[in-house]
Amino acid sequence: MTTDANLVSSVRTEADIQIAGVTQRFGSLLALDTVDLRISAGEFVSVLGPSGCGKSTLMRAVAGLVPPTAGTIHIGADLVRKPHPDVGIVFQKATLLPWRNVRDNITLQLEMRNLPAARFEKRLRQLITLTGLEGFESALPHQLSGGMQQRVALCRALIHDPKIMLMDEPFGALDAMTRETMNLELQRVWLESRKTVMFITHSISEAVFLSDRIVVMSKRPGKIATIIDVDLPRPRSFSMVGEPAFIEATIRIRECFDALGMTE
Amino acid sequence: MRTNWIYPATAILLSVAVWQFSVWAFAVPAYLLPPPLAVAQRLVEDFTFLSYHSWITTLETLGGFLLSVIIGIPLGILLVWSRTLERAIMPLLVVSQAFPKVAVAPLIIIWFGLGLFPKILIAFSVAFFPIVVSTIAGMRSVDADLNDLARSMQASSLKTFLKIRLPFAMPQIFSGLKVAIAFATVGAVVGEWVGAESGLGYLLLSANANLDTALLFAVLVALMVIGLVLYYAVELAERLMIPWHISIRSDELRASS
Repeated sequence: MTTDANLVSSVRTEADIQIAGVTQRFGSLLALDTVDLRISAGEFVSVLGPSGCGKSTLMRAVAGLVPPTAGTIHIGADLVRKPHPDVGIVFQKATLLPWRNVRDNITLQLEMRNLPAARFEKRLRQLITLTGLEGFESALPHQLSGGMQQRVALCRALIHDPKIMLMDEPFGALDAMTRETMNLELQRVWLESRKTVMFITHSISEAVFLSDRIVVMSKRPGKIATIIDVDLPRPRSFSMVGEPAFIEATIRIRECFDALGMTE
Repeated sequence: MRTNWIYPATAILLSVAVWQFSVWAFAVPAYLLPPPLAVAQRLVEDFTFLSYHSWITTLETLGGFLLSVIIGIPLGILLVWSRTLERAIMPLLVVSQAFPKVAVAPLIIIWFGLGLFPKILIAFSVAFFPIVVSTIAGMRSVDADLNDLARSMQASSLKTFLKIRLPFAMPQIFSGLKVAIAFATVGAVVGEWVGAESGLGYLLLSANANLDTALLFAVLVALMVIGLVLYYAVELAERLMIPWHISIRSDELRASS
């Protein structure tokens, strides 16, 4: 795959995510308890934890989909109260429109935001090339495998060139082999675009492979238990799983889970 | 797929043959059960006459069906859009469906006379409910993630409705339409029974009064033809409007067989 200057994110200033004292209550359930976190511009941060630890809730708050009960979230200088224009989201399910082909599913993002499709034509072709979707532009979602569908969702989240990517267990529904391939592809896309990424996952190896930093969350109430730096050079490959830094990060996460009385 | 029609066709031909043979073998009088050949003869001889009455019934059915579509789909959308309206109107709708429409038919005839319009109303009264229910179910079937996605794209609610919610509801709406078109025919015939000067329902009553059993059967054949044509017309519309849904369904069938 060719590196393209246009995908190395634009001239605009990059954005960080600042989460300050965010608490989320649903009735009597305390889903998030005073979470403080700063994700720097261009940083890849995974939020790792067992199901029910509030990691998806945190992402939805950052996305501006559910306002937090208390605390503030900023994207760059903007206080998040509703969905922010500089965000692209990928969910666990590809959530493609079954009547739209690959190309039209990607450009849905532009249509919904009233952005002129012509201006993004070049970017669309680059993304399709980058994610290996060439030749499938006019295929309908049900004709694609799960991995291919998630690639389309990834393109859709990137087409309007957002500064921030929010990913909620995007590969959680894929089989292990496809998942590794998708991790490699995501890394490649990220290396070329350097978006600020908040990546929700419950897979330790996925988090270690992809992240600059890993936020480990504990359950009920959802709290940040610890933050672990992953000191591995990029691009990373799965042959690195045996390297000391990889093993060390994995062990630290497992120790943290053990200390919290959680198994993955 | 191609040979699928052979089995039902054989079954129908066999039953008709058994029917013809039994009438002859047991010497059944024609006013009880006419032989199929006599029915066929009647269909040919009275073709223009039957066509005229079929046309009336078809008009009433289509009128009732179209009225149901025009009112039922927007009503379903409205009820999904507003919880308050749903709470206020849904019980009324359910109550209105709780008693048999045949019971209201005499009232409608008294109010609106013997023409086409009261039959259209009766056809509408039976056909619109499945359309409302399927529209509501369809609009609610939209994936929660997809709603979040639309919101994250900062889309207006009109755009979300037109580009995501309504297309998503279409397959369910169409299954409601298929039920509705069959119901509408029943409604039209019931309306004609209660009071009419033309139409297949009217013809059924007068054939019945004259013990003209061959004509009764000829009318049944006409009703069957109308029912089939209208049902497949709706299915054709479905094929044209949501081809993506048909292709998913056939792919799934192929995968499971």
